[in-house]
Amino acid sequence: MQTLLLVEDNPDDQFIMKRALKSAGVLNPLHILDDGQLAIDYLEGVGVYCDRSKYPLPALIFLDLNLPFKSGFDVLKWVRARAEFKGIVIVVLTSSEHLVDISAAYQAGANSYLVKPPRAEDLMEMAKSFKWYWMIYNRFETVPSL
Amino acid sequence: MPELSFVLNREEEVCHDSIHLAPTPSWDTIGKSEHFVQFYEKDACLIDSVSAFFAKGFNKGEPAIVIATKEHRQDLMSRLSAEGFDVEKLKADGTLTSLDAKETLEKFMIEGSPDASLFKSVVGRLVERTSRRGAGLRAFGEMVAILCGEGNSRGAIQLEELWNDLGKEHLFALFCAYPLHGFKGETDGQPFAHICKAHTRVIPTESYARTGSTEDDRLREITRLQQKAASLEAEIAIRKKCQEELERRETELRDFLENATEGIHQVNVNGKILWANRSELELLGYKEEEYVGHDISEFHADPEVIEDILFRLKRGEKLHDYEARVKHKDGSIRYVSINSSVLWSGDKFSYTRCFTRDITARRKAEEILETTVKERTAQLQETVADLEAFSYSISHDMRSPLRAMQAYAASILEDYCGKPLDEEGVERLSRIQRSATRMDLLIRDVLAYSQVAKAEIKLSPIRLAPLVADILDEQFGSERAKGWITVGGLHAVCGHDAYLTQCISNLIGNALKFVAPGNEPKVRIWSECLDGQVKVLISDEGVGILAEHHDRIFKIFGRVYPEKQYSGTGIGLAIVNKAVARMGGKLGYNSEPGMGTTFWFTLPSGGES
Repeated sequence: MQTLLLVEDNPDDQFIMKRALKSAGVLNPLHILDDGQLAIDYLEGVGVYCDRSKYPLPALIFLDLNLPFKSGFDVLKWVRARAEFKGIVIVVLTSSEHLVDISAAYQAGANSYLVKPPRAEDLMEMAKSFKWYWMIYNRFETVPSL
Repeated sequence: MPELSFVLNREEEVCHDSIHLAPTPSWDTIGKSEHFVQFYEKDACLIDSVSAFFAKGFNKGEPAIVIATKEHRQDLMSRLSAEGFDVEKLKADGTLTSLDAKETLEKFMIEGSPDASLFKSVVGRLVERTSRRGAGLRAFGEMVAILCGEGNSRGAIQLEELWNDLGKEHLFALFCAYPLHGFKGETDGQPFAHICKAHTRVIPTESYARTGSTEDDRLREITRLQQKAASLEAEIAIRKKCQEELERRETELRDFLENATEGIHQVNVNGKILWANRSELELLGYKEEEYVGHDISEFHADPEVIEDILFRLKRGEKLHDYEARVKHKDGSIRYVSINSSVLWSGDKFSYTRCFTRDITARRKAEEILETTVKERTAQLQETVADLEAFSYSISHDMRSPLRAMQAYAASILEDYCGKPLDEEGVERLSRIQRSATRMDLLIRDVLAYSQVAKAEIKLSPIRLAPLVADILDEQFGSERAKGWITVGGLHAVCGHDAYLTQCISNLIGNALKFVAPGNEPKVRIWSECLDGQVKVLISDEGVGILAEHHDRIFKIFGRVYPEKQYSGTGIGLAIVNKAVARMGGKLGYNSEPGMGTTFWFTLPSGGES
């Protein structure tokens, strides 16, 4: 089963996302990272993340743009600059509706751009759609580990 | 015996016989001493008369003197030859003397008047020489007519007198002739009368001679002429009146155009200025000779514009409110509005009727208006952009805690339905609380921001020392007590009390907050004064600011560090930025990551040192 990564600094949004995915029936392992630097460390396998059995490379990353230290764009550019990560699906998940951000995200190589709905229940619905589209219909490049 | 029917005194002449009117001159009845005048309309008729006059004379053996124009002499000689007279022989034996009128005239004229003694020596001698004992002498003279033709009727009359004087000493019949067209003018009436009076006989022109010769015919003719004269006089009176009216009207129109308060001028098809009125000249500052007669394009600042104007006018277009730039004599450029049309004679371009109005003032006002509108629009756009950023961040940043509250509440209801709350459940409740508090903070900060986003504020001199002291007392009492804040010398600035309070308290708060964990904050606040500007500085020895985060930190709710590391909504610097801008100052900072940061802002000095 593919691993999913959630790069999100807001603990409430972390709770909501975790719960939404669970409620939608997405049972894949979900790793939550608090900031952009940690996301890069994870993908690079730096520090504790070198243990790929515990921290496998993800098939899909939920990426918030508004992160402390390194921004979501920094992470996006960093990932897309590396050929080995080309197959990782990056779904930007952010509160920004600005066209500038949407455009920049796609320019930088995002696969999809989701805007966090203001209402929690709407996020639940979004998680369901996500499951059907991305987890059932969509094919990932990464080979399922084990 | 010579007939003395010669009248000496003109006045006496008027009594009875007055002037003989002969329908057809019967040259037989001409006395030996006569001075008569014939008026003629056609030269040929004159020659008829003169040749008949001399022919009769030659037949009687009377010599002749002809003082006439070259053409008349030539014609006369031809005519006499045709009549059978051997002109050359007559000339040779002294019977006929032919002289040029002008040449003879010059011999005795002095400064426009005939000189009596010279006349006597020239003409008198001629008469003496030509006269023959016992025979009359016939003379034809045009000198007087020439003088009249030159406009010297005075001279002509004087000459007539001299001839009359000569007639007292010698015997001759003098035939004077005047072309009637020389007396066509109204003012010619008097000299005409004088001339007639100077003669013994007046012979009317050939058109009279054509009428019948009976007394009855004559009377009818006279009556007809009287009627004609009367009607002509009436017409002259009318004409005079019309003339006066016309002149009055012309004066009026001329005044109207000349003194109109609008610039008016005429330009011909080639662009040459034919005429310009006073206003036009004043408008452009030129004297008449510097403008009229010159090419209009000399005075236009944009050659393609004047080309277009002339092109359109030639095409038959009428121009309304056509704007152009013209050169004033003093070198400045004036904006004008032109109304123009062409007067056509058939399809020939006579001239343009141009009206020029100075709209420089209006243009300047428009330019100022445009500039003002641009400025205001820019300001408005800034305000709108601000508002957008503002409402955007409200809707997103503030709905975030709301979403969290909903989620936690919903999750509790789902998971703990009927069950008592465990640690997890309590945690969720406290998170709801936290979110609510956060929302409150956000609302408070947004309000604080909106306070400094006001458009028009009044600035006044503010002494910073007491203001800073108040801030420290109210908000940072304990920090100051711990020695974390030092205050240096503070000048007075020109600013706004509330805004300054916001700025300084936010900057001090940040300086105290952003220290490395474990370190004590060290904050200093002071000001410097240079060239009428006061720079307020707040320095710290905290974590510093990375260059890549520069844009983020000034955004509404923009933050670099996670909430758990350094609390706050991220509104602080957005407020400081806005407040400083509103006070007309500049905000800046110097920072060394890991070492510290110094924020500063400048404002005009508040006067005191």
